Formats: sequence, structure tokens, C-alpha cells
Amino acid sequence: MMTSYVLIPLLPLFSFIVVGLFQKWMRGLAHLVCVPLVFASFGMSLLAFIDVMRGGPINFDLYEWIPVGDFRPTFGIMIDQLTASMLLLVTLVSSLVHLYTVGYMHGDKGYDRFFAYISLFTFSMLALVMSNNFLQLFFGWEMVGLCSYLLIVHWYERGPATKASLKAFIQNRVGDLGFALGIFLIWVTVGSLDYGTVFAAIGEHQGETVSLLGMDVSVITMIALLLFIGAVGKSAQFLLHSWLPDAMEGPTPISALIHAATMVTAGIFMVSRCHPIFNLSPTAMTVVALTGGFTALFGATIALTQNDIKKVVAYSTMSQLGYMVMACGLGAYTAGMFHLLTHGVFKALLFLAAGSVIHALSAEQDIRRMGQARRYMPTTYWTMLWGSLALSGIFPFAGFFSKDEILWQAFNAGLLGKGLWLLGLVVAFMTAFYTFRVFFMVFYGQDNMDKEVKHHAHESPAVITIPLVVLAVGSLLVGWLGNPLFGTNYVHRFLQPVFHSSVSHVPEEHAGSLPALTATAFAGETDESGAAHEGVPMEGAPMEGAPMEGVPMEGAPMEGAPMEGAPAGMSENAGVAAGHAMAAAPHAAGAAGEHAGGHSRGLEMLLMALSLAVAAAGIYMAYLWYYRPNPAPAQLAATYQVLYQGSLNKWYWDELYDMVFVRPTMRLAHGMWRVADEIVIDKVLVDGVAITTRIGGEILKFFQTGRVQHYAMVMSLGICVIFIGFFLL
Amino acid sequence: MMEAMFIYLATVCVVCAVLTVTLRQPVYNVLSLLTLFFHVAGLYVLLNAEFLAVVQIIVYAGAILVLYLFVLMLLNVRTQSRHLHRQWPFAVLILGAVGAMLVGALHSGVWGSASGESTAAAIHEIGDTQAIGLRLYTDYLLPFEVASLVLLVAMIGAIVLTKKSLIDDHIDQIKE
Amino acid sequence: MIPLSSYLVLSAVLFFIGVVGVLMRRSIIVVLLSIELMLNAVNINFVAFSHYLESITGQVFVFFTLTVAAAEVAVGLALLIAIYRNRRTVNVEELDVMKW
Repeated sequence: MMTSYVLIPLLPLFSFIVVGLFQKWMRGLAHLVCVPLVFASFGMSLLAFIDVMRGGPINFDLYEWIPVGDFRPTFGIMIDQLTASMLLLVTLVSSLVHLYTVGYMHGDKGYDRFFAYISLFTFSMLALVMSNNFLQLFFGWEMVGLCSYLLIVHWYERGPATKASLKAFIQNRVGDLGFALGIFLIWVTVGSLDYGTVFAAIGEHQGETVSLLGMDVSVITMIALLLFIGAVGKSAQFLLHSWLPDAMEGPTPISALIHAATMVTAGIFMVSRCHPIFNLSPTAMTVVALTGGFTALFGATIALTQNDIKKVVAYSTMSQLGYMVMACGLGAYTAGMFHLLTHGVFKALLFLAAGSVIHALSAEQDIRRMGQARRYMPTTYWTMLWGSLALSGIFPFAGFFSKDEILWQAFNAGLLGKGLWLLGLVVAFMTAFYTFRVFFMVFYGQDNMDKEVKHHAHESPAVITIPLVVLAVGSLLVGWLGNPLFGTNYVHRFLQPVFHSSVSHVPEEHAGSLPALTATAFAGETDESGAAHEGVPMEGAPMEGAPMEGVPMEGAPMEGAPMEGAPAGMSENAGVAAGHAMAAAPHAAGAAGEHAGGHSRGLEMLLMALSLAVAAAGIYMAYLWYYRPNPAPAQLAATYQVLYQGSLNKWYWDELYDMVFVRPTMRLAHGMWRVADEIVIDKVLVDGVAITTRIGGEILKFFQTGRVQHYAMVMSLGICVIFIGFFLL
Repeated sequence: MMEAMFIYLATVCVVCAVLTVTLRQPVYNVLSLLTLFFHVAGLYVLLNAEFLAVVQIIVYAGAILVLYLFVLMLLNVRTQSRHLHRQWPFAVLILGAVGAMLVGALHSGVWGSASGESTAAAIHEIGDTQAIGLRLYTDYLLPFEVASLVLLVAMIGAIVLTKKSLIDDHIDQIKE
Repeated sequence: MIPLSSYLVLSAVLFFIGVVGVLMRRSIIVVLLSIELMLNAVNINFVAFSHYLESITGQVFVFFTLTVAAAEVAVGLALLIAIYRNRRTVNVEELDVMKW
């Protein structure tokens, strides 16, 4: 039964193989294969989810992949709580996108190819999240990158699409190089790539250093930063961000599936997965948090002024990914994962709804040439409204709970966290503003549509609207799972075993007295109470910034250990191997939460109200400026020309990269072509070999008779000489 | 008895070999080689390799030499006026060297000792054929398959080489 | 009991005669026959060693030699026919186009 979960990734792989091989004969019927199989995969994921909820993590190896000496990587399946939630998200969004594609790509000449690739992508993404070792993670990581490339370039006859795909591929390669180096370093340091082994052993390497350009750097920090470079590339964080907006050249279902809901979240998933490593390195955590925070702000500022409907959503994705990364950097992995899940749902919804608009308006993407679209497409209007509300973080939609969770965690995380909290609030305002800017410009505002376009404007068919409705309902409901106000926070409780910190291991009575971060429980060593008592206080465990004003440490949600305090205490195993411990964990968690509730609930409510107010203010501003035609935005743009142009041109990062990397590379390549290729290789080496051979042949020709027996004679002589040389000398 | 047999067989072999390379009519060459093959088969029997003796007769005498005869009949090769190759003076020198090498090799006399893994008695018990078969289809399965491939290639090659191509036909037509 | 060396001497003599044929005769047919002769000399060697070293492997090798001989004959005679068809000769001396 357990092993049958291997079918979850294999079903999409199967449909890829079938559709990929028999593409020529599919003739637009590929969905008959792909859609049922991906839905079956979704069903299996549900089963797996329930299994994990009841029985704890599933972890087994399928077979040894490339055994070389000590290096024996396996293909394995691990489904713990983290994976299970990712599985649900990936297969759900993938299924709906499959369905949506049937309508959206109808009549496209690459219809079957498209289905083949999204199936392959689904497989790769599932292989990535279900991996139980770093090598398979890397395999999935590369495969999703490849699929992303293949799908962005789906309309390969369009110039921008090919450029965008190359950009995505190459920028991802930069990140992947870092990621690969990180994995190498893990192998060198720990001597294993298995999650359980690595996370259990990584704590022992604290204090070890590697030499980098003559400086000694902590090996764990080094690993964490290298891994994070991979996450930066894949999750489009600052410095490797510019591929994501360009990737919108691909068909909209892809933007929804890959560039909003799943692939780009792989970075956050990976950081969460490797939290035992990150937790040990305060430096790396700070870098992660700052990168995330800055990206959130950076993406939001650009999104304010973009005019392409998909670009706005893309920048908002970048910004929201920044939120998640920031949460991870603050140690609030649960909050990050929660936002990842809710964001996956409502951002997929927004993309699909935007796609529906584009589809209805004959491929028009410029919001300045839209308006009053609600008249033609009521379903899209309503679902888009729900998605926008969710993204803006309006109660009671999903985004509200998850975003608020992150902000709350940030608020509780020391001085740095306070700063990031403020930044997050600003970003929340911008998010609400630009989301509704688009919304009002598309569905209200001035009717700027072309006559021709308007003539054809129509509501999308049911295959398109059904996924929209499902996702809209989802974006309303999914947030309640993590509702901190009433009842239990299910997301926390579910993800608890994965991210359980020492806090959750300490029974209630100890929780108050012990410095929160002393107990260390190595996997399989002891049960939890044992761990709590035997817990070795590690050097430097109680650190500055552990408890915050008025908020007792243990009051913060479980994994919310402030990052400055994290290193020593969190060096326990990954939750992976500690499956046996999970049964008891919720108890402690619930108890601790109860205990803390009284102190912080008031403050939390206050902060919630604040962020809600900020979001509402953003929406109101958008309403004022864009509900009806209003000259205010244009005037503002004219007044702050520099800022406006900067935002509109993405702060000129593309131009900068073009100048610093692209052009010199092109020039170098051109030079190499002229000199190295044409002269050295073609002339000297290739022609040189040919000429030498011919001249040599012309000379040696005189020694040849062309008679077989002559050759036989010489051969006999040769044998005699060899014989004499061999035996007599 | 065995010695007598050996002396007889060896003598005939050497005589036949000499005839094979010296006689002038190609058919005689082939026939003397045929005789030699039969006697080599006799030597195999002396060495307890009955299976190979039979194979020797079937393959060499039955197939290969018959093929030679067919070709001879087909081509109707004329007897030549001169039989020795132009290069024979040099050849004699080199043959001297080859002969010296062979004598040297025989003199060195390092031939290893009996391994005892399949003694005459052991082979006798299961039979020569089965002994070879066991070895051939276990340790030497892959070479065996490769050998079959070699034969296939040779077969195709022979057909391709001997088939009159369409171009040749065309040329013939033009000539006529 | 016949000593191993007798077989080896016989085999060496046959081989030598084969080499003589290959190097000194003009007729391509005799050259091919001499090659067969040399192969047989080698086979005798194999079988003799197989017998005296009590290892069946030697006989297995004879098997492979046979295969090679058969292939060689098939291709060799095919070439012979092709050559004869084009040049009306079986004289090796006249066949010196390999140089070009």
C-alpha cells in the first residue's frame, strides 16, 4: 500500500510518455490521457495526505540509482507532513490547470505537446517534493527548470518567447550551480545525501570551517547560503528575479501552474525542508530574511506601474515569494509554508482568471485597452474579485490569514523582524493597491476596448470557469485552516512534526522554566520526555532577543523561535525520522499555544486589524483612482518622474544585466567564434590535420606496392621481430 | 599402435600440405588439402576430441572445400605459366626468419602443466560433445553469439560482393 | 603415448608450409588454401594443448577458429569471384590497385 504512492508521480510520467511518443496521432485528444491520470494522481495524493495525517511520515527507498564506491544515492519516496501538503497543492493546481488548458489551448497547433510537457512538469515537481535525498531533489529541481523552459517557449515562433525561455533557463542555471555546490559541500561534510542522515548529523559539524578565498567560513553557513542561491534562482528572489516576469510570454496555464503555484515555490519548499541546516546558521538566516523582505518590496514597487495584466500578477508573485522567503528567514517555516499553500491557490486563480480575460479579449494583455469587462464575463469577474481580495489580504479570504501569520511572526522576531514587519506592512498596502488597480481597470473604469475585440468578447467555456470557481472557493476556505483566532490552527498542528523545535518537545511545565532552546532531541535517541530531561544545553543557547517585550518566548507559535536564538537549540533532527514522536507533539503544541494565548492574543488582534486596515486603504486608493477615470495617477507620475520611470522599467535591472553580463558574454562569444573557432579550430586543427594527412600520404605512397603478399611478407617479418624482441631480449 | 597411427597421420599431413602449396592445378591443390583435413580429423580422434573431428570433416571438408571446388568450376581458372611470386627471393629470406622463430619457439618449451580441470577420464564420462557444450554455453556464451554475428556479416558480405549489381548490368548493356 | 612436442612440431611444420604458400605463390586460390592450412595448424595446436593440459577450453577455441575460417572463406571466395569478374585473373601480382 505504501509503495503504491510511487504512482503519484508515475501517473503523470506515464501520460507524458504516451502523449509524447504518440503526439503525431493524438490530434488534439491528448487531454483524454492526461486529465484523468493527473486527477487520479490528485486522488492518490489525497489518500497519501490522509495516511500521513493518521500514521505519520512515509519514507522508503525504491532502488539504488548510481552506486559508485561510498556514493550510493537512491531513488526514494518520502511523504511527511510538508510533502503531503505540497503534494495536495501541486496535484490540485495541476489537475485544474490541465482542465483549464483543454479550453484555453483549444485549437493550438502544439496542443498535444503542451499536454505532454505539463504532465512531465507535474511528474518532475512531484519527484522534487517526494524526494528523500538531495540528489533526487536536485533531479526534480533540474527537471522542473527544464519543463519551465520547454513550456515558456511553447510558442517558439514568437521572438520574445524564445528570449524569455532562454533567460529563465540561464538565470536558473546560475542558481542551480549554487545549489549543486551546496549539495557537493553537504556530501563532503556529512558523507551522505539522505535527508534523515544529513539533518541528524549536520549539528556535529558546527564550528567547522571551510576556506573560501582565504577566509574561514563556517561550513554550515556556507552550505545554507549555497542552497539558498538555488532557492533564489528558482523562486525568483532579488538578483535572480528578472526571468519570472519575462516567463509570462508562455501560455497562461503555465504561468498559473509553474510560475505561480508550484515551481517557483520550490525554493521555499527546499529552504523549509532544509530548516535543520538553516537553523544552525544565523548569518544565513539573516541573509534569507533580508533577501525575502527586499524582494517583496522590490516586486511590489514594480507591480504598481506595469500595464500588462500578466506582468502585474507576475511581479505580485515575486513579491509574495519574497514574503515566504522572509518568513523562512525568520524561522517561521510554518507561516511560510502556509502562505505558500494559500498563495498557490489564489495566485493560480488570479492567473487563470487573467488568462480567461485574455482569452475572451482576443489575446489582449494591456490593461489600458480593457475596461468594463464585467459585463461580458460575470464568472470571471467574480472569481477574479475573490482572488484579488485574497491576494490583498482581506478577511476572510485565504491571503489574510497567511499574510498576517507571517507579519505576526516577523513582529515577534527581534529588531530585524520588526523592521521586516514594517516593510511587510508597506508591501501589503502596495499589494492591495496594484491588485485592485488591475481589477478596476479591467472590469470597471473606462471602456477602452477595440471595437473588434469587444465584438468577440464572451464568457469563457465551462472547462475554464470550473477551475476558476473551484479555486475561488478554495481561496476563501483554505485560509481558515490556519486561522489563529478561533479554535485550533490546523496548519500549525499538521506541520508541527516537521518543524518541531525544541520548544514543542518540552512538556508544559518545563516550557516556562527552561530557556526555550536548550533541549536537543536527536532522532531515534530518546522519546520526547527523555529528550527534554537529557537535553544538553548547548553553548550560547540563550541568546539576545529570545523573549520579546511582553511576549513570552513559548507563546510564539511553535517554530517561531527567533532567529538569533536559533542556532544551538534547533540542531535536532529533521522531523522526518522523528515520526514516532509526532503522536505526542500536538499535545505539547496545543498546550503551549493555550498557555501563550492570553498574553498575545490582544496584540495579535491589534496587528491583524492594522494590516487589514492597510489593505483596505490600498483598495480604497485604487478605487479612488481607477474605478472611474481619474487624472490623479498621471499627475503623480509626472511629478515623480524618476520614481515612475524606475518602476515602469523594473528599476533597470534588465538593462544592467544586459550591460554587465549579456553584452560582454556575447562579445566574448563573437571573439571566440572569429578567433578560436574559425582560425584555431577550423584552419589550424581541422584543415591542418587534413593537409598533414594528405601530404603524409603523398610521401608514404612511395613505400607502398599495393600487393597483398608484399604486405603479408612484411607482416611476417614484423612478427619475427616482435618475437625476437619479446623472447630473446 | 597410437604411435604408428600418429606417424601415419602426421606424414600424410605434411605430404599433403607440401602438395597443396606446390601443385599447379588449382583442383589438385584443393583435393590435397581435402586429404589433409581428413587426416587432421584423425589427429583429433587421437587427441580424444571426437566431436571436433566430426565437425572438422563436416565443416572443412564438407562445406569449405566444396565451396572452393564450386568456385573453381564456376570460374574455370586457367593454369598459369609462372607459379612463383615475383618477390620469392625476399620471401625465402623471410621464411628463413619465420622458420627460425618457430624452431626457437619449440625450443623454449614452456608449455604449462596439466590443469586437471577436465581430464580425459572426466571428458570420457560425460562425452566430448557435452563437455564442449557446457563450456561453450556458459563461459563463452557471449563470444559464441558474437561468432554467429560474424557469420551473418560474412554471409551478407558474400552475397553483396558476388551479386551482379544493376550498374554492372547497365555497363554491360552499353558495351553490347 | 605420443609426447605433446610431436604435435607441436607437426603443427609448426604445417604452419610453416602455409606461410610458404601465402608468400610465394601467385594464385589467389592457393593463397586462400594456404591460409586454411595455417588455421588448421593452429587448431592442431589448440586441441593438443587441450588434451595435454586437460582443459576443454582449447577445443572451444577451435570452434571459434572454425567460425572465423568459414567467414573468411565466404568473403574471400566472394572477393575472388568479384575480382575475376572484373579483371579476368586470379593472379595476385596483378592486383596492385590497393595502392591507390
